[in-house]
Amino acid sequence: MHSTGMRRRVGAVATVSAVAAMSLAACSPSGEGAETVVRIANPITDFWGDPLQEAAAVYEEQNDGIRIEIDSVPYDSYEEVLQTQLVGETAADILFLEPPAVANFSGRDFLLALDDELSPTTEWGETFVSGMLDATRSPDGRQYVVPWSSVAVLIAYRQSEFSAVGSNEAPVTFSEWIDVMNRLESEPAPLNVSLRGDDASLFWILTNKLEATLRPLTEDINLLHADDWAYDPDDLASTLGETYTTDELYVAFETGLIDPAQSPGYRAAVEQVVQLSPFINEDSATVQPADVAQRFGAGEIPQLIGVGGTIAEVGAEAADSEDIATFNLPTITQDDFPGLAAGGENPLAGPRNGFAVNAASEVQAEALDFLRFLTQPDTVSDMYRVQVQGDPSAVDGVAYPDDSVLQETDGQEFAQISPYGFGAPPTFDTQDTDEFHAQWQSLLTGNSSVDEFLEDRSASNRAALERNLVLEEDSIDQSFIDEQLGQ
Amino acid sequence: MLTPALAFVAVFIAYPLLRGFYKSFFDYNGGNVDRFVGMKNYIELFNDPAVLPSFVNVFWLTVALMLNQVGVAFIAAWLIHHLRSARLQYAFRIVVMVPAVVPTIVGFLIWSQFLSVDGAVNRILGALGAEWLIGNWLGDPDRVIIGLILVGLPWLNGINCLLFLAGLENIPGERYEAARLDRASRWQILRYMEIPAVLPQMIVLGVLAVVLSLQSYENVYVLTGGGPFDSSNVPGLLLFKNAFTYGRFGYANAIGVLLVVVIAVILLAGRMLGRGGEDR
Repeated sequence: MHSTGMRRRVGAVATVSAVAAMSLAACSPSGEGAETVVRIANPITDFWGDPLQEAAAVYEEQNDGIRIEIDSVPYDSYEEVLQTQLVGETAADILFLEPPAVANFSGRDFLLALDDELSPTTEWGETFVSGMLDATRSPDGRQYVVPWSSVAVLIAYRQSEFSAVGSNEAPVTFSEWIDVMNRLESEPAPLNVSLRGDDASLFWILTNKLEATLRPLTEDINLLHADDWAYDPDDLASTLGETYTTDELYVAFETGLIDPAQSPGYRAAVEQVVQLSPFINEDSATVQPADVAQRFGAGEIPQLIGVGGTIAEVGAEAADSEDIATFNLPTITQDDFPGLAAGGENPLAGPRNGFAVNAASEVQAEALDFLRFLTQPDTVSDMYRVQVQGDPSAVDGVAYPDDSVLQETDGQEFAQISPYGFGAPPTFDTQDTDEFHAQWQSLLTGNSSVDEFLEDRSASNRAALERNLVLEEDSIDQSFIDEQLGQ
Repeated sequence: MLTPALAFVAVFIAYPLLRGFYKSFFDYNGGNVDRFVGMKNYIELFNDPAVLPSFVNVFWLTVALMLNQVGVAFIAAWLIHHLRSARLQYAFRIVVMVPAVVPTIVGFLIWSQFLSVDGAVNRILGALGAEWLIGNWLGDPDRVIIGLILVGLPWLNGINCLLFLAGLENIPGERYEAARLDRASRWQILRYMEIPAVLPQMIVLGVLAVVLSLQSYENVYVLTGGGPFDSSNVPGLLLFKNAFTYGRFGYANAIGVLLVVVIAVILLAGRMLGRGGEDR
């Protein structure tokens, strides 16, 4: 009896093991005749889901034995999910990433460095819009991202409502915008925003201003530059090959150049944005970004700050879509801040995004080959025809559909190197970003003063830079830091 | 027979617990940083300005949860128990279980609409003439915890209610008869007969409510994300953020260890309380 039971158990274990072994063999990419699977993690399913599927189908047709699998991950929890998968070594081979995530993951060696494949002088590097590679470089100075698009941040508005208060042309400067809002009906609030952590509409305004007010300091911050480098804000090529590294940023912070508590440019940018507080909706701390977009679409509010994609979508669905037009984020001027010596705000200083390759991927070569295919101008042009898009491509020579909102979008006007990753909020890592959201909410809802905000930002920025120094200790030039800080 | 269960506990409960404790002495980011830092995480934990407010918040949420998990469920069970109609009793047993079939997250999302500035809660307050109470329940740091407590009103936990009901129905009918002959008031029956009959359930459900409340953060995560400006953070959310948003697994483990210690103390206290109840 005992031995029969034992034999049954052994038999059962053997059967399960055999089935498991066969299943694993069937899944293995190295098996004879088996296909190689390249997985892509994509959180932007509403805009890039279908176009990506179609591009993948074309690629699979051209490449026998390769299958492109797209993992759709909800945007809201994307970074947390991805981080968990990266730590557990189960993440996809290709990862769609936005700035804070690139800095977060590259600092922890989760991403493959692509400097050899993607320098501006390589064939692949020449595929991209000028300056895009430098603009997407990480704080350690390396290239991890295959640029995909620049997020265009715009303001959509109803022309009739602006005209009714005597504003027949869209505001260009921040003062003009405030003037319009003073004249717009106060109920509902003329500027509806969501100040929840997951909405970017309002902090982009601050980031844009900071890029402008800190731009005159470019040469003072970028101390570890090429020998013959010289900066010219009016020459977009003058920042090619240059980036702010963590050691430079740390020195710039400690010497007060970019320390929120000490920098006059930082204060000027914050003081300007705080002027928006009286015009902001009462429920700004709790309302969802999608609800704000819906209010605009339904005609309840006169204007909407948003990314091009959202604006294109909401505008197309609105009953009075002909009345809707867009304008760029209104700029700070020298009248507002005399130190603005290197141009105003760049309209397209919003975040860039792109694809990175998982450093633990076993199919890195195949992943890179697919990304080369994906960033060909013809492929991108085809993808833009699949669905309305609001963000301009990072790839040069893309033909946009005739009805695209992108035709109206201005490009970058002034050369700049961003102190804050590449278009992220003014922060240096994910924790800093989280703290920023809380401080930002508090400031704009009148629960803290500009001085308190700047002090809090200063403490958070310093802590984040110190964390980055630890993460990037292999590439940090400590002697440079000591020399600059006189230690 | 016990071996598989013990193995399961060892692999999925004991090992993560011990490893979490071990890793709480490390600066560990899940990637390229994994270094022993001794008590640094614990020193930071006790100096972190976010920790104490998070425990204060969870204290109020726990008090509220205990009251509704035990108090409201018991009151509902007591009312059902004293219904004369057996059919009505049966119907109410089903009714109290209805909220349990709504997925928790869906419930939170519905309540986020109820508590919005132009949501049902403010409209009801307006209709009742209590305009002075109208406000931004989840967006005002002074009332966000009250807003979180309001979630789930009338807070009826069907399972707990049925457990109390089972306890009340175990009281023999003869005892009620004897109490009536002794001219005991309804309050005396409740105080000396019914509450002692369900006291073990009360202690167990109370302790479970405390443990559940200390561990949970999903209500806060979905409804406020810890905001506005970190005013509704709870320890579980701090742990989650440090581990899965900031990649500070070592520090998150230290928060986890602190939570385990707090929960263990409460469990021990509950056990001692239970023994006291048995002795009586």
